[in-house]
Amino acid sequence: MAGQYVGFIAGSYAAAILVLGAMIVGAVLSYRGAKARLARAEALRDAEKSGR
Amino acid sequence: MTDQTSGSLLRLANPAVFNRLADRVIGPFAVLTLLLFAWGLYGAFFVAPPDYQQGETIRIMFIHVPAAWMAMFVYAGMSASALGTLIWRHPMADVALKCAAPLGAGFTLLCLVTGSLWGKPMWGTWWEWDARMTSVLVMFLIYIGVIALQQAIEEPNRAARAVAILTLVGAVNLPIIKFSVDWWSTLHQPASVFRIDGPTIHGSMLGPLFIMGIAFLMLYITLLMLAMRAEVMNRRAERLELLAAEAE
Amino acid sequence: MSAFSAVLKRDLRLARRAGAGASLGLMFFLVLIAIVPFAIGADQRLISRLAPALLWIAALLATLLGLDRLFQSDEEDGALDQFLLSGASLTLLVLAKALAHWLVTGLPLSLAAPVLGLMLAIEPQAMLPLALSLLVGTPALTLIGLVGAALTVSLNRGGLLLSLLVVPTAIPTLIFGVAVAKAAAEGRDFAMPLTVLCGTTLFALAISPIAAALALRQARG
Repeated sequence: MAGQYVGFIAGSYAAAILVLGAMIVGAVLSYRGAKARLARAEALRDAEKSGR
Repeated sequence: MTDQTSGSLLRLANPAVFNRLADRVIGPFAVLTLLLFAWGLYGAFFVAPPDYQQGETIRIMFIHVPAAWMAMFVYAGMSASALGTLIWRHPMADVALKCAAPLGAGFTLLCLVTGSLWGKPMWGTWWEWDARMTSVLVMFLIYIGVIALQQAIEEPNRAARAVAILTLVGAVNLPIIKFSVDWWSTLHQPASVFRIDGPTIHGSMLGPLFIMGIAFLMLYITLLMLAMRAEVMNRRAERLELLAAEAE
Repeated sequence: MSAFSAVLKRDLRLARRAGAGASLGLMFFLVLIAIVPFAIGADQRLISRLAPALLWIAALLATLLGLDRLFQSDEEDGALDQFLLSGASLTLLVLAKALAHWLVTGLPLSLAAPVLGLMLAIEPQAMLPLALSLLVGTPALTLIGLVGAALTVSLNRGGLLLSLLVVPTAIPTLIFGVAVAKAAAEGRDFAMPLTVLCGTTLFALAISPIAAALALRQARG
């Protein structure tokens, strides 16, 4: 009984890892991207302030 | 709503307050999510017995059902955020709505895919036009619509309000769609089709199912915090870039 | 009320000038029906069974067709700003535009449906119920589309997005509209689906103009 359905169960958990994994990686990457972008923007502003 | 909760919600309108809170809780929440998943999966595979009718495929339920719960829960939260955007102009509500939509779409997609993988051994087809699956599919389309509208309108404030209106229109229509799809499926449903909700859910399955549900919820909250935190930083960066461009 | 009739008259006149507005939608409807046998074969019995569904889907597509320009042309020529400045109720004006749109799309389609039904070999006793279901149901399609049109008013190529937003919300109308015609074709009582169909239209009438007006006001900032 168990053997014949292993593929479907494994497929389901693989789908979960794929979808949830994509959500997690997406969130982490966008967080890092935003952090870097903000740091760049702030550095630019500070440089301009001290330059004037 | 009591004064106290509305007061603390109001305080969260200040992005700096939100940032402090988010930075403090994201780490612990991530750890908690991981522990809950470990506990829930252990229960799903080693504690819960195989179903007498569906056999080992019942293991799929421990992803499928929590994903379906989250699909609905996230939309309910988005509707609340939409009200927050339109009525109170709460600045974080719009951020929450924007960040929640892709997560909700992800859970809905997972629900559809696992439903299909469960349907093949149980129903004999990858896709049955059964009332529940069809309703979830429509819900997925509504999520996609919200995301597409969000991305299509460039001006952030305008996009926020349009998306909020669309979200509420969807929220009003979802029960009607659910009702009409249920009615429609009673016309078409072949009597021999095995129902996924099944005759019984054994008691020893409920515990792991519940824990998996909490694990999904914690994962959602963690990811939402992370995404909102990123969105707040992006908006601030955008303002700074704009100021820099104007100064030149 | 005078603003209502003014907008209605203006939109109808515009539709007439833009190359016989009403008949153009009708021709689109006809073309859709004409390609059906090429897609599913000339099997008379099969076509007859699919006829109510085909006519309803064709009606939905024909309704969607002109929707993306419904408010956009008004936004471009400044008429929308005039509406907003005039102080007249935006909800009422939106309703007038919906009525004008339905008069040049939904109404002619409903009236032509029995003739096209003949071509699709629909059961004779289902002919009138089908036309009736379209007559009652197409206003709901227009009203639902109105919200989508208002939400995408500022977008240049909003047509595809509009369909994506509108079609899921139109599902109940489609279900009960087709159910009326199917029940009639099989000789069953169709009072229940027809009542619910009226209900969806009335509900759309209550909600959509308000939502569309809200969306338009937000879009102007």
